[in-house]
Parts: sequence; C-alpha cells; structure tokens
Amino acid sequence: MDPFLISVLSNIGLFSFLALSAWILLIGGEISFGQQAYFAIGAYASGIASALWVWPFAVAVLWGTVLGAGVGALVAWPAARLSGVHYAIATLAFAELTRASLNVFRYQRDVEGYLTGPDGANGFRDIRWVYEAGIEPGPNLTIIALSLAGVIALIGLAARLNVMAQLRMVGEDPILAAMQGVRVLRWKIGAGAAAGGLAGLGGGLYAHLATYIEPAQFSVMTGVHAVAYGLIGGLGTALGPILGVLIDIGLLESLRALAAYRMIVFGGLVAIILILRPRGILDETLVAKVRSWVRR
Amino acid sequence: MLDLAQNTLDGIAAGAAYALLAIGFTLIFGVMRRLNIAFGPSIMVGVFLGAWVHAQWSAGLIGAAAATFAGVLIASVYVERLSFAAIRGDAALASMASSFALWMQLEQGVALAFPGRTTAFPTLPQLPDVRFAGLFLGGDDLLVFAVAGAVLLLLHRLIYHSHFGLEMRALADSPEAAAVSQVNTRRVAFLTFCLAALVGAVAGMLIAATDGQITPKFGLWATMKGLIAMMIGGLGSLRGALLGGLALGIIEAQAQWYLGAAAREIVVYGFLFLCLIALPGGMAGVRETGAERKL
Amino acid sequence: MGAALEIRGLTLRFGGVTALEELDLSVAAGAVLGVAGPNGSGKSSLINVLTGHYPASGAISLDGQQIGHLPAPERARLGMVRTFQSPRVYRRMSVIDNMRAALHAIRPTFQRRADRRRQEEWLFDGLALFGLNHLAEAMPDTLTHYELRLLELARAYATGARLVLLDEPTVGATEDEANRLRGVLVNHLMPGRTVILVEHRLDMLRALCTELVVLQAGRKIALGRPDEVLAQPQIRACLMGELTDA
Repeated sequence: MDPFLISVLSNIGLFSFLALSAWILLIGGEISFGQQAYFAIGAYASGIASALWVWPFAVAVLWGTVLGAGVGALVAWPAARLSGVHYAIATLAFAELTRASLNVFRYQRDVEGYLTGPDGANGFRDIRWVYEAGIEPGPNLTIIALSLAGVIALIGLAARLNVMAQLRMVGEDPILAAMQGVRVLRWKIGAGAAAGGLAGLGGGLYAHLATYIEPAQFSVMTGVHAVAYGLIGGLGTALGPILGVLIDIGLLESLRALAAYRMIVFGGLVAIILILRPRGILDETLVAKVRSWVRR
Repeated sequence: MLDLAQNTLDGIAAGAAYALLAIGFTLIFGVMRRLNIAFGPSIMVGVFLGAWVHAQWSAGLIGAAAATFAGVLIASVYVERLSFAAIRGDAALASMASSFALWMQLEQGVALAFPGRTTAFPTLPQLPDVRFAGLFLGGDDLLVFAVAGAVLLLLHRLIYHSHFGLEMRALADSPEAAAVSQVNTRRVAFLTFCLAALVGAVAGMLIAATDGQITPKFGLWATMKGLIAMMIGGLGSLRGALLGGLALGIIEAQAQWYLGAAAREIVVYGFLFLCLIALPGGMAGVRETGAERKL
Repeated sequence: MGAALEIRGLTLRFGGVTALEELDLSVAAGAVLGVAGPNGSGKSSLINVLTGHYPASGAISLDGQQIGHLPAPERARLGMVRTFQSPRVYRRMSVIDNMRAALHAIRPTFQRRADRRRQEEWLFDGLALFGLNHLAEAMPDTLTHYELRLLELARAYATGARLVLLDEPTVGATEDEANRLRGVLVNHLMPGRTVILVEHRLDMLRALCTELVVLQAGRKIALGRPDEVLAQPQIRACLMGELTDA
C-alpha cells in the first residue's frame, strides 16, 4: 500500500479512539474538553513501559489503557456532580494540568547504552519497540485497525445489553433516569473510566507509531477537535465520531491542494452541518429510523 | 512581604485585562446560555486588523483602535449569525462546537494574512511610572487600570440603568418570561453579542498595546484566560467575572515569582480544577440555575 | 397486590420555607390515596420526597422495609414508579424505546433470547392497552400532550411497579381527554397496585380514590373517605378556587 495512504489511515484510526472517548461522555450528557489528557497518559505510560522497563508492546499498551481508565474514573468521580460548562472546564483544567505537569516530568534511564525517557518539554524520544520488533507501518496499521474494530464490537455488545441505552438515559434526563432505577452516579463514573481507557489505548498505540511524543501534542486543540468529531459525525451511533474523523483527516488531508485552507474549509463545513443537523449527520432520529426500517 | 505586595500589584494589572475578557464571556453566556469559545479568536481578528492598519498607514494607536473595534465586531457578528442565531432550540452543544469550527477558520485566516510569528502593535502613550513605599507601578499599568475602570463603569450604567440593560437582565433571568414580556430576544441577544465584542476589543487592545506585539496564538490565549477567570469567579455573574479576572492575575503573578514559569501553569490549572470541584459557584457564589443544567 | 406505605414525621424544608411538616400517613396495599390542597401546599413535594428526589427527614417504609435513607434509583428498583406534572420522556428516543427505557435498569443486563422476546411482547401489549401501538416508532416530538401523558402511564404500567405516584395526570387535558384518562387509570393502571394520586379535579378524586388527604401549608388538615372529606364546609372553603368541580 502507498505509504502516504497508510499514514493517513493510521492517523484516522488513532484519532478515532480519541473521538470515541469524547463521544462516550457526550452520550452520557457531558462535554469533556480534556480527553487528550488520557491520550497523553496512555502514550507516556505505555512508552515508559516499553522503552524503559522493556515490557512487551501489548502489555505496555494494556498498562496505558488501564491507567487511562483509572485516572478517568478518579476525575469523573468528583466531576460527576458538575454539569454543563462546569464539567467541560473542569476536564479542560485537568488536561492542561496534565500537560503542564508533563512539561516538568523527567524520568530518564540508561537502556542499552542510550539515555531514554521523558525529558520535560523536550519530549520523549525513541519509543522504538515496534520498529525494533520489525513491525512495518502496514502491519502496524493492521494492529490499530483491529484494536479499533475490537472497541467498536465492544460498543455494539454494550448496545445489545442495554448498557448504551442506560448511558443515553443518564445523558438525556438524569432525573428521569434515576426515577427509573438507573444509578446515575455509577454510570457517570463508569463512562469516565471507559472514555479514559479508550483514550489511553489510542495514546499507547500513537506513542509506538510516532516513536516521539511531547507535551505540546496534547493541547486543548486536540481535545476540542475530539468533541467536534462526535458532534459532526453524529451522536446516534458509535460510527458517528469515526465519520467525523474521516471527514476531517480523511477528506481534507487527502486533498493536499487544500492544505493551506484546510481549517477554513473544515470550519465552514462543520458550521453548515451543525446548522442543518445540530446533533450531527448520524443523529438519534436518523439511527432510530434506520433501525425500525431494518426490523421491518 | 514587599515581594508579595509587588506581585499582587502586578497581578491586578494583568487581571484587569483578564476581567474584561471574562466579562465578555459572561455577557454572552448570560443571555444565550451557550458558550462562545470563538470569543478570543474574534478579538484576535480585530487586533490583527488594527496592527495591519497601523503598519499600512502608520495610523498610530487611535487608528489601530478603530480598526480593532471594527475587526472584532465583524468577526463577532459572523460568529453570532452562523453559530448562534442560525442554530435554534435546545442545542447549546451544537453552538459551542460550531463556534469552535469558526475559531479554526478565523485562526487560519489570520495565519494566512499575517505569515510572520509576531506582528507589531502600536504601544500605549508613555506615562510616568509610579513609586511609593518601595512598590513600583508602570505607567502602562496605570493606563490599563484607568481604561478598564472606565469600561466597567460604563457597563454598570448600561446594564443597571438603561432600558436595554433591563431587557438583557430579563433575558438572562428567564428567556421565557422575557419573551412573554415582549422583549425581542433575538435582537437583545445580537446586541449583547456586539457589546461583548466591544468589551473584548478593549481588552485585546490593552493587552496588545502593552506588549507592543501580537502572535497568532492570541486567540487561544484570550479564550483560555477569559474562560478560566469566568469559572473561578462564578459562571454567569459579572461581579464574579471581575473578581475571577483579578484573582487569576494575582495567582499567576505570585506563582511566577515564587515557583517559576513552568510551575505557574500547574498552579493555575490545579487551582481552577479544585475551584470547580470544591466551589462550583465560584467566588461570587452563583447558585446553579436550571437553565445551565441543560447544556 | 400493591405495596403498603407508611409515612411517619415527614418534614421537608427549603431554606426557611416548610414544604412538608411532620406528615403521618399510612396507605394500605391496593388503596388509592388522593392528595388535594391549594397550590404550594406540598402535594408535589410529597411525591418528590417519596421517590427520593428531595431529601427529607422522617421515616418512610414500603411493605415494612425502611426506604427513607435510600437514594432515588434504589427506591425505583423496589417497585416504585411516578409520573410528572408535565410529561417527561426521552425526547431523542422513539416511543417504544421510551417503553424499553423504563425496564432497562430494573431488568437483568443478561437476558435469554426467549425472555427478551417475551419482554418485547409485553411492551407492545402495554402500548396497545393504552392505545399507542400505532405510534411505537414515532419520536416524542410528533406526539400530542395527551399522547405523551398516555405514554407516561403506559410506561408506569409496563414496569409492573407496586406503588404508583401520579402527579396531576389530568393537567392540560381537555374535559373529554380527562374522562378518557380516568377510564384508562381505572381499567389498566390501578388494578392490583397501590396508588397515590395528586389531583385538582374533584370528579377524579371522588371517582378514583378510596381515601383522600387534604394538605395545607405542608400539614394534613383532613383525611377520610373522599365524599365525607369533601362534604366538610371548611375543606371546601380551603379548596375553593383550586379544585374544579365537575
């Protein structure tokens, strides 16, 4: 496959994790501007594990996922009683706190004659496990695609088991949901953990693809993009945020002629989509229609 | 002890501009119940236009100021029409995402028009510095105080002693009640947006003129400072926005002095996070309203 | 059969305002207790306290089990369901999805295929019983106020809850709709359940209740059979202007 295509597809896959992470919270009724924090935590934690502690790739990425989920739950727990703008800004504050802390985080070690590890604002170089194992960008893309497919399958299962429906109930009307026996607080913390884990997984995969990460990559802009993907693509299905990523990275990055005007085109497109469909292209009404049509 | 006092003074000087930014956010949020995160970038469009007019015709501060006002107004009206007026109903999320999309547009537009890293902005007229009891207050800071104070007084008069202010407060209290009492909600919302733009333009101009230069990062910077100050002070309260802005300035100045630049960010965001968790009503003690819960 | 409800010393204060003051009530299993009173007398507060939406002091027991300390979801799981003064549904879910939503939290997550099919049948039958089967796939935005009210009642029916709290079900209904709602309540929702009915229409209270309590400023001022209570002149005076006699 064309290396450019592989790199675009890999980026789409990796940003899909972040977009899904923000989407899960949107479904649960909260906007988070801070999912990039868990992306960063996953990236740094798994990078440290594979590069410094010489753990196998899969275990390192799993560790990043678990840590992302754990921190996600820890943040969601006090934040769960906040709503609306307060939740959004609290998550943003946490993410910027994480980024600022990574700017002073140094943890370097001599591994086989190389000094490696996070070096504050200078970033974290040589997360080379994947390359040293001889995994080419092509197979690496397969790993990313399979992980993403696994996540989507899990969300599909959650939908069959009424898990997603309960999250939607919490998101739409927490008072009514509580009156119907939904333990709202637990769902909010659970959603925070799931979203943190998803972003952590994406971050772990990202760190090993890029081999170099630095705190500035995990800025507010990244987080706000993640929220926007779900809102453009649609909140009705897990395919919505992925469609959002496809529109941004896929469509616009492939049209290299537009490179200089990319943000102007993307911004205008998003503004028009949101005027026509405030809950995104694949919104709840459309998904309900399709589902009833399929059942017929 | 002297350091502490000097830092506080410096902090208040920076905080005066933050307070104006926070007030702009609060005005918009108050009447719309929606967050306009493109507020900072709209201001940026204005200051860049001001810088351009200055560079083109060496228009000086007055010319740059007029161009800044015009630029912020145009950008704000663009954002208001597309992200707020065009998206009706219970769609606070969509408005916010849409304002983010326009932010991207404004930012790239500015980056294309001004390829340099920094652009010069006319500086404030030189005033004598003030020294008393070992403390130092720059002439620039005095001017910032004076302008910010004047804006606050004017705003206070407008909001509490004019018919438009009454309509605005009615809309902020309850959109339904305001509509029933024949307030033209769309008109008031639009005018409030413009008012916020003017306040933002003053803030942007003061900041740009104090620094003497502007960068394309100004939009993000202004949105973040305004949002943080608004949330620390208490969402939806003008008094809170003022307090929050000053508090943010003081905290930054103290942290910078005692802990250094890297730690300053950690302290500010850590404080904001704890503030939101422990004191969601902010310094002004705003009680959460039903309308806000909807977002 | 419905559940028996006991309330002892129930008190609710908002700041300086007392919404409920030392309220004692006992409702026998299967009874229909009407609640009347002027605006602000604590009728809706009573429902909000019973469901756990407002925290209040005092003791509440359901079939002998103390529930006063439980948060709202746990009470709902014990078999309590409510309706709202203005119908409250999930606007972004279809009618049938709203019916399913009522069961999500109180049914097990893992269900056998046969159980799930039986549940679907039960939900569609419930919709049919309340005359909404033709709207199963519709979105709530397209429903009239009356249809939304029926959906709320059908949803309450489908949960199989033993205690049903109805908050002014005829508010906003025309005369004709109110009569039809009365029929639906008597025939489908009330049998086999304990019901607390907050209502402002005297005809509804007379026709539906086995007992009637009248509240004023958070206190109980009368309790007894509806016709006897409503015969008392001072009660009529208190309710005058609030209750519409038909």
